[in-house]
Amino acid sequence: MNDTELDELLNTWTAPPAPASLRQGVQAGFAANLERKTSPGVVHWIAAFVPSARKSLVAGAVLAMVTLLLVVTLALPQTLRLVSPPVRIPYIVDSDVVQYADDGTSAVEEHRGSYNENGREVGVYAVYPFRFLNAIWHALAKVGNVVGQLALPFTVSPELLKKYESAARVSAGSEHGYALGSAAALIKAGCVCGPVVGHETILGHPTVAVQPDLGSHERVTFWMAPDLGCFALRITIEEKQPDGTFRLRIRKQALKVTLNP
Amino acid sequence: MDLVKAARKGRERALLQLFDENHLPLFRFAYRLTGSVPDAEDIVQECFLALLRPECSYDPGRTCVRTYLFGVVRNQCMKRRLKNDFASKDGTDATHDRSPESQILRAELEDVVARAVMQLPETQRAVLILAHYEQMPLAEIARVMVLELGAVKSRLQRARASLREALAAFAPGLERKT
Repeated sequence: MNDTELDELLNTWTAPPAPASLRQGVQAGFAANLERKTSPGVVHWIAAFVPSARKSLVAGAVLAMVTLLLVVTLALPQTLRLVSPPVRIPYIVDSDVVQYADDGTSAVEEHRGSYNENGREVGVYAVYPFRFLNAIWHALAKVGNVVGQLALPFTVSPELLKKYESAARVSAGSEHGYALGSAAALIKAGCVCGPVVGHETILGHPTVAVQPDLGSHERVTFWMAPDLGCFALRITIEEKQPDGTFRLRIRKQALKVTLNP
Repeated sequence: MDLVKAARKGRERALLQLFDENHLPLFRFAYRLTGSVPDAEDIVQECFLALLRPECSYDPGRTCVRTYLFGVVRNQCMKRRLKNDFASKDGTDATHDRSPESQILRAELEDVVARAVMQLPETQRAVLILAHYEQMPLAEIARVMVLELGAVKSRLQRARASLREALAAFAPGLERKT
C-alpha cells in the first residue's frame, strides 16, 4: 500500500460535527465562572489595574483621580458615622454587578462590598474594573448622592424624611437602588415584600425570592436572606420587551459572605 | 486586545470568538483521540473554560493559543483514558450517521480504520491525527506534544507503518478486486 492509498483509507474515518450544545456549555460555564470568582476583593482588582496603569502616565493619572474620588466618596459616609454611635459591621458581602448587553454578552460593571444595617444596605467599598470614565461617573454620582442626603433635611418634610430614613434600601450597583417600604416591616415579614417566586440557599444562607411591583417597565427579583437582615444576595433586573418577554439587563450576585470581618 | 486576556476580564464575546475560531479542529481531535462524542464535547468545553482560571498556565509569549488548546485537549484525553479507559476499547462510535444500504461497505471500512487508529500507541495516535486529519505542521505538533521534531517524525512514520500493516487487506486496489 503506498502513501496515497493509506491516506485514502484514513480519510474514510470522518468526525461528526461538533454538537450545538458545546457552545452553549461554554457560555454557561463562562457565566458560572463570573459568579464563582471567589472574593477577588479590592486587592484583586487593583492588582489587575497596575500593569495597565504602568503602560502610560496618562492612565496612571486617571487612575489616581479615580482612586482619590473613590476614597473621598467612600470616606464621607464613614466620616459621618464617626459622629454617630460606633457601628459594628456584622458581615460583609462581596458582590459583582454584571451588566448584559443587547447581544447577550456580559461584563462586570462593579465589584462591591456591603452589609445590611436595620434593613438598609450600607456600602463598604465599590470598584469599577477597567472603566476609568465609568468609574469617574460613578464616583461623581456618589458625591451627588452624599450631598443630596446631607441636603435632605432642608429639602423635604420631616415626615417624608422619617419615612426615607426608615425605608429598606437595596442596591444593585450604584445606578440601581430600590426602597422596599419600611425596613422594620420587611424584617418582620421574613423579607417578603411582594409575590414570592422561589426559595434558594445562596452561599449557605437561605433566601426568599420576591418580585415586588415596582411600577416600572422592569421586573426586579430580590433573593433576600432573613438571617442577614434581608440582605439581597442576588438581584436580577429584567427589561420588558415589546413582545411581552423579559430580557436580563443587570445581575448582582453575592460571591462571598464574611461574618464578623 | 488579546482574546484570552479580554475573556478573563469578563468579556464573553472574546471567549466566544476564541471558541468559534478554534473549536472545530479541537473537537475533531478530541473525538478521534477518545472515540466518543460526549467525551470530546466535555473535553473541549473544559479546555476553553480552563483558560479563564487564574491557575491557567497559558503564556502568549511562549505559544499561540491554538497550540496551547491542542495541548490541553491532548492532556485531558490522556487523563480520561487513564480514568475510564474509554468505552471505545471495543471500538468507536465511528459509524455515526451512517445508514445501511449503499453505505454499508463504507461504514464498515470507516469502523475498521477507526479501530486501527485507536489501537496505535497514544503518542503515535495523537501525532498521526494532528498530521493527517488536522494537517498540522510537524513543528507545531512538536510543540503540542512537547516532543523534539525528530521524535514527531519517527512516531508519525511508525504510526503509518503500523496502519499500513493493519489495513493491508483493505487497500483500495485490493478492495476493487474483491
